[in-house]
Amino acid sequence: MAEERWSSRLGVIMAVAGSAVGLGNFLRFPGQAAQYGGGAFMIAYFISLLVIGLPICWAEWTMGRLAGQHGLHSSPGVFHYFLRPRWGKYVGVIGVVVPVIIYMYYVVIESWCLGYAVNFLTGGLNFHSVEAAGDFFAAFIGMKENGLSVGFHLDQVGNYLILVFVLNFILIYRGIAKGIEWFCNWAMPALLVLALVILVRVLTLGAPDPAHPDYNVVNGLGFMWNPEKVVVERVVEGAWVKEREVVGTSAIAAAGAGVRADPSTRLRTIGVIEQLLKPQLWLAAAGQIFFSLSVGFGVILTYASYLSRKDDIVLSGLSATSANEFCEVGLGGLITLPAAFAFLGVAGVAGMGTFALGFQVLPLVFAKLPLGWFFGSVFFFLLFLAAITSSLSMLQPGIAFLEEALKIGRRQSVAILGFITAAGSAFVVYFSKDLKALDTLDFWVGTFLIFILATIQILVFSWGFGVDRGLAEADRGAAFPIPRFFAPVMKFLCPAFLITVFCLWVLVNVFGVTFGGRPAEFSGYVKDLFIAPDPVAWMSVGLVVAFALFVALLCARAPAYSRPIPREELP
Amino acid sequence: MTLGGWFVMIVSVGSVTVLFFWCLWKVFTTPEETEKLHGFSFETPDEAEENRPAAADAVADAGQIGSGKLPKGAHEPPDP
Repeated sequence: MAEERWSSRLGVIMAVAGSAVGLGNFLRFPGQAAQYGGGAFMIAYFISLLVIGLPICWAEWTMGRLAGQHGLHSSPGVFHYFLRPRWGKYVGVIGVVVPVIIYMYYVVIESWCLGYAVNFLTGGLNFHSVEAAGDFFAAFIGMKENGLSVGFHLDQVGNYLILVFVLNFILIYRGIAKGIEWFCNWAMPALLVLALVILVRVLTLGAPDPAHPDYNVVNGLGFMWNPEKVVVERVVEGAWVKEREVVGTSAIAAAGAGVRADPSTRLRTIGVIEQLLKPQLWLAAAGQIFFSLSVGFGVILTYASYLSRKDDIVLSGLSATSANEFCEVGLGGLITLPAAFAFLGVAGVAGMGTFALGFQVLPLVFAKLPLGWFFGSVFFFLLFLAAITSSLSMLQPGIAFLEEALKIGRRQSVAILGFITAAGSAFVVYFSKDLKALDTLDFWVGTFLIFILATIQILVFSWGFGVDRGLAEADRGAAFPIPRFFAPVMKFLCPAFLITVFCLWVLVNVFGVTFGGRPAEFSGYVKDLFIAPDPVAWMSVGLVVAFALFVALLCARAPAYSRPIPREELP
Repeated sequence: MTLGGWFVMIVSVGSVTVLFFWCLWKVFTTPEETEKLHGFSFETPDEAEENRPAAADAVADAGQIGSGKLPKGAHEPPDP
């Protein structure tokens, strides 16, 4: 068994941390925080962590382990075990769709990391202006036109994507344990140390552009953590409309002077409650928690199903969560967003795609470090390794499902999954304009579907299985029991929170319902589908639907999910 | 950065740091915890089975995933 090879306790906890830490921590999180306004997002994020992240994480470990005792290792199998009616397995389809679809774009971002590591070494990333860094990134990933990134020069994604894809499948085909053991023991601590070095450099950046003294790190921290926002608003057709956000004492004073000179504008402080009334913000915060903790993915269900009742799923879940949060909030958030603000200002920070921020900002930070090319290369390479451990874990639910549904061996499953994910990744990398395919998949799968699956999981755990039985089951083998105040949280607060956020999001962002006389506000992702239809957005959603139908068809024909659960094995 | 911003940041970063180090301490001080703690990176039973030498296959039971039988070495029967 793997644990026999990990001789030290540090090795074990690094293994847990290594499998938990990935691109979500260093790249997706800062992008999400920036996109949703910083301070209020962080408050929603921490509430989501406590009320839904940790409880559903434990619920998922428990459900997976229990179903695994009966030989079921995939999400449809787990839901077949817990729900029992014939339709139960179809609920589990989401738990296969989510990791496989996320894998399709996750490897593309992995290849960006590898490409950046190589380009740092060749001196291609020694930027001294925001524009140069932005131009390189846009050309590298083909942001200006579809198909532009599919090239095989050092400064194009093509080579790296093929390399990363093949590497992933060689590792999963030949066995991942050895490679991951090496990563966890050596590369993971190195990544943490290097992130700390970068953090120190970012916090001492000051104001890198003398022409914009208010673009500085303290204001960047303010953008991320201030619970209240100050905005300049302008009258448009009789209503006050937000024009821009201002951060920092001098910027606010200057904006105040401008407002006094122009009566059609005003300066307004937006309180935290008003910001938190946006359902899209809560959906994004919850989605980020789920994404980075791998909750609602189907990944925990699958891995937990291989554990025995002697294993400690309480501390396993908590350790993975804490390592994740330490890297995400303590390192990823404090590095990328303040640095982005210092170089780009508030307008530049808010306009980036979810994953793009780090790739445009971090090279500028490394340019201000001695031996920046070396540290930049090492950092992106370590990030690439961290991403590999995560992407490999995303393949296991799909592999386990194909093994169960088709009664085939692991290598055949890997081959089928390789073909499917190669097609999906090719789609993502080809439709690179404005990262439309990647962003669309990341929202509808990486946020929306995860949210749905997590909601179903907590309902099944707390109401179907029973929260008291569930907690007792979770406590088996644990170093300490789950505190019992989580029982009402899991039974009432968590489902109520998830259902409320979901219903409000649908009302406001899909149907355009307004509260308090504000103008109708549709989500950009809904606009791309129904209001101003975008062909790439539609194809992206079509890809998800087609794969979901394929999985559902296999579920319908799989004997493993038609087998009645014997009475003595019922949950 | 406002006073509220400093407060939210210190509480947030402080709490995740304390939680992480508490977990480290718990793992280091709990007997036999190393054998019971898991992430997503261990060798799964299907992988182990695939990588097992052919000779071992000949003598081992033919446990199949998804058939309701238990994969070799992965589980023990549930408590009654």
